[in-house]
Amino acid sequence: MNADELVDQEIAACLNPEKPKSFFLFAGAGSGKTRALVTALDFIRRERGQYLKMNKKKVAVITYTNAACDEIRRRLDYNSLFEVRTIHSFMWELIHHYQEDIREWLHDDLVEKIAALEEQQSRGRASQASRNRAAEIEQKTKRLAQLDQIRVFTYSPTADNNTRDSLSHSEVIAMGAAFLTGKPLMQEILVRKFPV
Amino acid sequence: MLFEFVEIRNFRKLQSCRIDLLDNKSVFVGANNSGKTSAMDALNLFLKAREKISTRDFTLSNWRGINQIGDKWQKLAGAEQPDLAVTSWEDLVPQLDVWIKILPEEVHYVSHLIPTLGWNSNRLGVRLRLEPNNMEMLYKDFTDSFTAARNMTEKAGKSLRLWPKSLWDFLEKRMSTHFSICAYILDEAKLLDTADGKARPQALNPLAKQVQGDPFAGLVKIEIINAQRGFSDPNSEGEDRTKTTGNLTHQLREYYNRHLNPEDKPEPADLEALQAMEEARESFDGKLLRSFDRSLDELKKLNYPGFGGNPGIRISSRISALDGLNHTSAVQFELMKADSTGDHPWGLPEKYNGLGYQNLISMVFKLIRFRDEWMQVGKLAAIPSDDEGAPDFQPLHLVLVEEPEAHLHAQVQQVFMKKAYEVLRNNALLEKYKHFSTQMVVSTHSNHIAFEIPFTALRYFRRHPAPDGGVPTSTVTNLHRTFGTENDTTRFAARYLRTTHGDLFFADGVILVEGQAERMLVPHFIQHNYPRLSSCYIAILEIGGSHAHTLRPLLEDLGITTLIITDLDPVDPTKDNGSVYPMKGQNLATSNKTLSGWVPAKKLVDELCGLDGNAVAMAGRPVRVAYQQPIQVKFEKDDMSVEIIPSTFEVALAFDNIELFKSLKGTGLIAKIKEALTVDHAAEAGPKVYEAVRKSNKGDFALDLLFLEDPKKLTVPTYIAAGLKWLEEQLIPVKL
Repeated sequence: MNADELVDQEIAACLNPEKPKSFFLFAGAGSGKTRALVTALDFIRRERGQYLKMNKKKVAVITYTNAACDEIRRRLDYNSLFEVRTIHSFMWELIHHYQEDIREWLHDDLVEKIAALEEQQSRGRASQASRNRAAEIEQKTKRLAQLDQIRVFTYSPTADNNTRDSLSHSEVIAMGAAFLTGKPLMQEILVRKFPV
Repeated sequence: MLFEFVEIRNFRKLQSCRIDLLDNKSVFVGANNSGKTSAMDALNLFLKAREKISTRDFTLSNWRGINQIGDKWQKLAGAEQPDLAVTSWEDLVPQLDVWIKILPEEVHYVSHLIPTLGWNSNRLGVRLRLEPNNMEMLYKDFTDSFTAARNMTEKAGKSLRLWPKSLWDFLEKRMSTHFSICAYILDEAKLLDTADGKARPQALNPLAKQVQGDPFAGLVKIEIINAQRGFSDPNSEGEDRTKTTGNLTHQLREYYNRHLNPEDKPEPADLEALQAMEEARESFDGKLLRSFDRSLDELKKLNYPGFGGNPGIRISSRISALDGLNHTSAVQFELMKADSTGDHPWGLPEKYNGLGYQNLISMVFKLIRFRDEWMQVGKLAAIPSDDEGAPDFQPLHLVLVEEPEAHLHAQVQQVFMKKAYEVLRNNALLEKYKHFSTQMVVSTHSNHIAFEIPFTALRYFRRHPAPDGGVPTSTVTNLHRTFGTENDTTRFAARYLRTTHGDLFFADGVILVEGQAERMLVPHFIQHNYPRLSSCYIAILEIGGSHAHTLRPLLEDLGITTLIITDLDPVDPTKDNGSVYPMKGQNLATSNKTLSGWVPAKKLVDELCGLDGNAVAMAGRPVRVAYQQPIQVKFEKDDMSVEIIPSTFEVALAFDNIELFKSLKGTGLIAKIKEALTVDHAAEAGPKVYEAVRKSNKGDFALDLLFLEDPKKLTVPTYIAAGLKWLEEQLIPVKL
C-alpha cells in the first residue's frame, strides 16, 4: 500500500456517518491534496450516494477561487451531488432567501458602525482620515435611511455590487457567519442540507 | 411533508373554501355541479399546468368588478393617473393558498419558503395567485385596443361592436400574455379558521416575500387521472381510435419507453435483445431490397439515377424495440390457456375486453406508472454518478383521481378504493425512506367508493344558491371536523350511514322517515302528487325519531335541505311515560327526542299541536320537521266535525283516507282499521283506530296497502303534505 492509499483510508474513516470526525489535510503544493479530496468525495458518492439523493442532501465543497471550483467540478464529473462553490457564493446561496433577516442585520450593523465612527470622530483631529470618516458616516446614514425601501437585496459573488440594493462581499460573509452562530434555524438548515 | 389544507378563492364556483387533506386518502363527494372537479382542476392548474388557466376559471360574478376596472381605465383615457395597484385586483383573481406541514428533519426541503430565520413552527403557507405581470403594460395594451376598436366603429358609423368590448372580452384573448401565477409566502400568525363554511384567507402583506419560480418544484409531484379516459367499444362509431390514450397498450408502451427501453442506456442484459433486433433488421433489409429490385430496375429504365451524381435509392428499415408494442393488438387477453401441444392460446385484443376491466386495469397501471416515475424505477433511476440533469426525488406525491367508478360495478369500485393507495406505496424505496408521503385525492359520485373509506376522509361540496345578482357558489365541508371527536353520537351516525344510505352525499335533499311504512309510501306520494319534486334527487333515510337527532351535526354541517317526517309519540308523564291516546289539555308530552330537543324544541303535546310554517323549521337552516297535527273529521252521522290528533303515520293515513279504507278487503292491520272506522261517530273512531294500530304488527301494513290499492288513490296525510310542499319550495325556488 502506498502513502496515498493510506491517507485515503484515513480520510474515509473520518467520513463514517456513524462517528464523523473533522479533519485538516495539510500538504505542500502539488502533493495531491485535490486528488485526495476528489477520492474522498468519490468515496462518499459510492457509500452514501443513494441516501443523500433520496433525502435531497448534498455535499458542500468550498474552494478559494472560481478557477478551483471549475477544476473540482470537472474532476467530479459535474455530479449534482456535490455543491462546489466559493465561500461567497456558498454563503449567499444559503442566506439570500431571508431578506427580512438581512435587513435587520444590516440595520444593526450600520447603526453600530456609525456609532463607532462617530465615537472616533469625536476624539480625532481634523485630517484626511477625519474627512474620510465624515464621508463614510454620511454614506452609511443615508443607506440606513433607505433600508426599508429596498424590496430585495442583491449580491453577486463575481461582480462589483455597486447598486443601492446590493450587499458587499464582506457583508455577506459577516452576516452569514452571524446567522450561523446566532440563528438556530440557519444551523438546522445547513446541517440538514449538507450532512457531511 | 404533507399538504395540510388548501384554500381556494375566486376559482369558478369555489368563491372561498377550505379543503383539508388527510395524510393518505381524501374523497370529494357532493351532488352534481357542486365543484368537485373544479377543486381538482384548481390543484392541477395552480400546481402543475400553470399556463393553462383561462378567463373561464375566474368566478363569473367577479367579471363585473374586472370590467369596472376596465371601464374606469378607458374613461380616463390618459387624462389622469389610472389606478394601477394590484390591490384592486386582489379580491377578483383566482388564488390558491397551500398550507404544508413539515417535519423538523425536512426543513432543508423548504428553506426557500421559510418567511424568516425566526420561524419556529411546522406549518408553512404559500399563496399562488393569478395576477397581471405588469399592470402598466396591461393598461396600455387594453386602452389602446379599446380606443382603436371604438374609433374604427365610429368612423364606420355602424352599430357593430368590435373586439374588445370590455376588459373581460380583451382578456379572453390576451390572458396568457398579461397574466401569470405568482407565489407569495403567507404569515401563519394571520391564519384564520373558516367561518360558516367559508375560508377566510389573509390579506396579503404588500411586503410579503415573493418566491421566484415554481415554489413547489422538487417538493411535490402531482399527477392526475382525468374522468375522460377515452375508453371505447371496438364497435363504437365516430371515435378516432388512435387517440385512445387511456388504454393499456398505450400505457405499456409509455412505461416501456421510460423505464425499460433497451436502446436507452443499454445494460448487458439488453444486448441480446438488441442483437436479435439488429439481425432481424438485416435480414428484413435484404428481403426488402430483393422485393423492390424489379421496381427499382424500372426506374433505371427512365435513366434515373443516371449521369451527374444523382443520389441512388436505397431501402432500409428501422426496427426499434418500441415498435413491437406499437399496434392495437399488442396487449391481448388470454381467454383460453395454452394446451399441452403448446399452441398459441386464443386471445382477443384489448379493445374487446369489458369497459369496466379496461378502466380498472388502465387506472391501476397508471398509478403504478406514477409511482415508478416518482421513485425513478428502471432506466429512469439516475445513479448519482450520472449527469447534472438527474431530477430530484420529491418528498410528496399528490395523486388526483377523478371519478374512478366509470363502468365498474360496486364491488370492483370498492376493491379499487382499497387497493389504489397500496399500489401507490408499493416500492422498496418508500419502505426504506420514511419521509416520502403520498396523498391521494379522489372525486366521486359513487356511494360505494365514498363508503369504502372512513368518514373523516370525506370532503362534502355544498352548493349555495345564487344571491341576488350573483352566481351560485360552493363551499366545502370537511367531515373530519364533524366526526372528528369520537363519541357515541358520531360513532352511531357513521355506523348507521355506512350500513344504510350512502346517497345522502349526492342528493339535493333528504327526507328522514320514521318507519318502514313511510319509507315505502313517501316515494309514491312524491311521484304522484309532487311532479316537480320527483325530478330532484332525494335520499330517503329510515331512522326513528329517537335516533334522528344523532344525525343533526352531520346534516347541519352538510347544509343539505332536510325534511324530517316523524311521529308525535304522545306519552303521559304522570303514568311512567306510557303511550297514550293524544288529546289536548291533558298535559301530555312527547317522547320524541327530535321534537323535544331539535325542532321545534318543545316538549308538551299542547305546544306542539297547531305549529306550522316557520315554527317547525330551524331558524337559518334548511331543516323542517313534520309530525301529526290535529285534523277535523266528520262522519256521516256527526252533526259537527271533531278534532282528532293522530299519533302515528298509520292513524293519520287512515283518517285522511276514510272511504278508501272502508272499501279495502285486506287482512291484518288494514282489516282492523277498517273495522275501527265503521262506527257512527268520529269521536269513537279516534281511540279505536289508535288502539288498533298500537296493538298490531305494523310490519306488512305498507306492503298490503300497495298490494291492494293503487297508491295514486291515497290522499297524502295532511302533515306530510305540508312537509313535502315545504321541501318543494326549498328545492325549486319560485322563478319570477
